[in-house]
Amino acid sequence: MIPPRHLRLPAPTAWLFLTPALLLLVVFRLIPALSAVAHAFTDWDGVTAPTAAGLANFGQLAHDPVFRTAVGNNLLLVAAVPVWLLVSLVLALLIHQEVPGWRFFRASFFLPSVLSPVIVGTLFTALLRSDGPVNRGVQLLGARGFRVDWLGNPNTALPTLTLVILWGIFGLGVIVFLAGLAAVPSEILEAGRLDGATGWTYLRHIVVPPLRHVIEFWAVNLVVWSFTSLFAFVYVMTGGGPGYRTMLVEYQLYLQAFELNRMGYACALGTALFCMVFGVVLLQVRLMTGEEE
Amino acid sequence: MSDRLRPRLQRLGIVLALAGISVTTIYPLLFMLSTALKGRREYLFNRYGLPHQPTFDNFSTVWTAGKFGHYVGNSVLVVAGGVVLSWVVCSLAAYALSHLRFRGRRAMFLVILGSMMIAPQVIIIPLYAMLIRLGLLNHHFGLVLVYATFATPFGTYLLTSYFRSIPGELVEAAQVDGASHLQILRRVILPIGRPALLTLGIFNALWMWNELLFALLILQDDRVRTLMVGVANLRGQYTTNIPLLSAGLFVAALPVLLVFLVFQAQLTKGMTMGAVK
Repeated sequence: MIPPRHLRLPAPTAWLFLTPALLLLVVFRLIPALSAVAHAFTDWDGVTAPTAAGLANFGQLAHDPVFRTAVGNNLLLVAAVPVWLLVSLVLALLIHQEVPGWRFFRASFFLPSVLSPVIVGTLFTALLRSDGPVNRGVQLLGARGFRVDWLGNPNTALPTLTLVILWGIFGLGVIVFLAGLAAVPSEILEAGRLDGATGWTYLRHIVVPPLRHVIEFWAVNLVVWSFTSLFAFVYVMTGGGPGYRTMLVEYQLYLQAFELNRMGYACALGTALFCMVFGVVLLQVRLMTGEEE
Repeated sequence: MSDRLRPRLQRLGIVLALAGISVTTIYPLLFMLSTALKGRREYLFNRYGLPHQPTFDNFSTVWTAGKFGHYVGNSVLVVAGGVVLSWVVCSLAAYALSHLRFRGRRAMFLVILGSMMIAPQVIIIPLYAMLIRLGLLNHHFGLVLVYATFATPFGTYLLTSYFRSIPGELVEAAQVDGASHLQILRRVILPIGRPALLTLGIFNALWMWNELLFALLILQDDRVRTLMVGVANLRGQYTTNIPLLSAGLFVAALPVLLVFLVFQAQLTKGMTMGAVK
């Protein structure tokens, strides 16, 4: 596949072909990133020139109760990742056995994850209202007079938000694990069954080992997402409330920057967010390129 | 007897459980459609049943008064621009990374992929400031550039993987015939790579259509606003008019649902790329 030496291209052609991609990435991703870190050390309202502020923003960050709450909420979401993984894995395993109707199940599980978080979030605010279908469903199951304002109640808001997000993406996990399972020789899965391994043992010792790579990949994706891809859910469903019960770091950043015009402080928040996910994303890139060459 | 019955019962239980979960994913969408077809009055006394007197009033209201027709146009423009630009940028880069030999090739591949480390939230403020300076705020092209940028790492990764499976002999043969690299890319690689381009195009169209944060900040003016921002605003304006809200959601979801029905295979491929080798 490697062209013979006399046909190898002069390097300039290759760099010419790479230029558009590199130009976009440098101008709209790298420079803004460096600029964000630089502005984290300034006082800046976004209109007048930024003034140097040293470590003041980070000092304030360390004592900001909202930030602490937001990080806590983010970590709770990360703590839910094993549940997300397990749900998707078990469902994928059941569909993989090709039970009757498996194609339909696969499609219907996949469906929510192609919808915009804006649509999912807005739809569920309607479903979860005190007079909405979810409460109605619970009432029909026998709890008469049952009425919870799922997203407005401080105790239920965060768990509810988490469940809606889970609804929004568990199917993607199913699809990913199905692709992984397709690559596992069926004898391995069958042999485990014949040996009498059931339930948890079967999952841990027969299913997980050949899928390790896929599970790691998906876990890393979910962790990164829970830090950086939930803005739209919070924006349309709770606005971070009630109080700060559903505040996430990325949403606090948005509020500080574009509602309060505290750009410098928001850049410090962004820098902190970057540090939190940096290690995880590094792992993600390594998993995507790991077996290369 | 029971030895044969048990696996069957087990299978039945599994099917029922899966069907239960399917209900939770499909019912909300049916609720949305059924509610969208109800008048405001009917919704008051017939909240959960099918509409007795279906009406399209909600749809015409969101389309005209809610300006959804206008927002759909803006979204289509941005998505089309983003998809096309991403095709051009990523196939050029992927061709270099898969069929050209040069010093630093692997490093470049890692740099492009590694730029994923920079999450949108982290850079949104300087990016916003830069777009103002470039005079691209409230211009569709500004959002197109940003979308193409964020589509670059994955797109390059996807196309590079695919182009690598195309035999180098084809490239050599074309070179011997005197074709330039741009010609080889256009006449040899891209036609063979069509499935990968389709996968990338569908995948990009989907997330660009669905995206909120960049669209919210870069296209603030009502004139240029995209559909998802329109939906988010509709929610703020008509919190209590659920039928109208449902109609808006249905309009916004319909193209995605159609794409899903037709291109499920491509979407599956795009989304599992990287997970499975």
